[in-house]
Amino acid sequence: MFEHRVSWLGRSALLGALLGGALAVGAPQVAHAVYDDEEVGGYAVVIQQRRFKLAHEFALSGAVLPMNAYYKGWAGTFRYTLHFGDFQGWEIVGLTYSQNVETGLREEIFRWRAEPESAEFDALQVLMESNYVLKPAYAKLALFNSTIVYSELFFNAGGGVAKYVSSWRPGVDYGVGLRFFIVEWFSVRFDIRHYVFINGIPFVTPNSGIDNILFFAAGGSFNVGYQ
Amino acid sequence: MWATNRPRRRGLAASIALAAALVPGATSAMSALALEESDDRSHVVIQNRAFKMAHEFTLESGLLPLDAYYKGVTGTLRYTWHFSEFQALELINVTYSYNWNTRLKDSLINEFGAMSDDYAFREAVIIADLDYVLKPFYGKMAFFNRMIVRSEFYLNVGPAYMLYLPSSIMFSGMSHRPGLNYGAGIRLFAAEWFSLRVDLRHYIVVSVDGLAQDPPLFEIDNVLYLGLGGSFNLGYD
Repeated sequence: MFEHRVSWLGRSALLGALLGGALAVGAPQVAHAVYDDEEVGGYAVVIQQRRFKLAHEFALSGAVLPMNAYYKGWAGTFRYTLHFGDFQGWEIVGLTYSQNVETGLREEIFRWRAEPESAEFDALQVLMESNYVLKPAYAKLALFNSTIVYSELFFNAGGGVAKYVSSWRPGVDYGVGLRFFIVEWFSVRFDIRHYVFINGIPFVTPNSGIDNILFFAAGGSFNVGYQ
Repeated sequence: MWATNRPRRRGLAASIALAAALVPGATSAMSALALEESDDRSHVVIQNRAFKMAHEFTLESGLLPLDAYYKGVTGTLRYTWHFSEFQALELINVTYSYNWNTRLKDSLINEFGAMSDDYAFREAVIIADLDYVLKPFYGKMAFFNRMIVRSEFYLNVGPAYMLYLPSSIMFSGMSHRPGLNYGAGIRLFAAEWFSLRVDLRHYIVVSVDGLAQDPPLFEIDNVLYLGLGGSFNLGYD
């Protein structure tokens, strides 16, 4: 995980500090100086252990699917993710159910005596997916300079199948997310994903089409089996 | 929060250790070291920020993906005045959107006789907004435990204005639509003077001039904006 590099000079420094500590008390301003490295910047190696580690993650999210012109989806999502490292995970299953609300576009275009094609008006209802998760960034943030919050940035890519009202469609997806750890066993997460589902084989199947779906979600995750 | 292994840092660490050996209170120094690993997260931050924003000039490209009749690719110029670590004002924020028709719009025009200059086909071309920015989070992000990047999370809210135009310059008729917007973003600092930022915003504007149409048309338009850009920071200390 985090590297622990201590040079001989670093060990000497630590020993000196221990000796000094054995001899004296007080002077917290010295302690502050230890951390006053922000102004210098530069290359750094992380030497802290991660405060929060994920193992078996069960997530529940509320979501909105705003992209379709004829309806907007209000969705609920369940996900199970197996985290097999600090940097990688596998979202083994993601299940989304979308309750769709018509936008009024159908009525609007009817004034031109137009009707949407059945494939266009076909609404997504259920979405099943599986994703590889890459978690490159782990952050320690200061909230108003008074509270430390741990966070994680992650990316996902994978595939799935969607059940529309009158068809099943395979597709792929990718996305990005942000997690804020509350406690070891619970975190709040935000997801943005882009799904691309196909209705038939493009250029081969008549009336085949591609459906782009944007997915915005906010929810909570329960972490089980962490050490 | 984080430690480094650069040679000059070693020197700094050695100096600090020497001072700790000589000055009363080294035990407090050690307790501060322990503080990093502590479970108590209600700390007072004792580091100065490495990157402070002052006058920020942003160039951003983005997308308007939501409308049924067009999709837009945008360019944004933004000036933000950061008057504290936690707050800022976006004093200038102008976005131009280059739009193209969706298949639905083309179909309505070509197959169903819809007029290209129909009021419903007006497209957002200019977006201007004035925003208050709250920046509650600042911190360090470790990428693959190798590289540390300073980052900032922020929220914005404010009034907005959109200029809607017909899709072709052959047609006249502007539509002025006031409203509001809110959003969130993340900034990754590359240097004191440059940072990358990602923005997500939701604009809600109303077509008040649609009431003059025949028949009267009052629309609330939801516009989603996704942006990615770079910011130049001037005048920082």
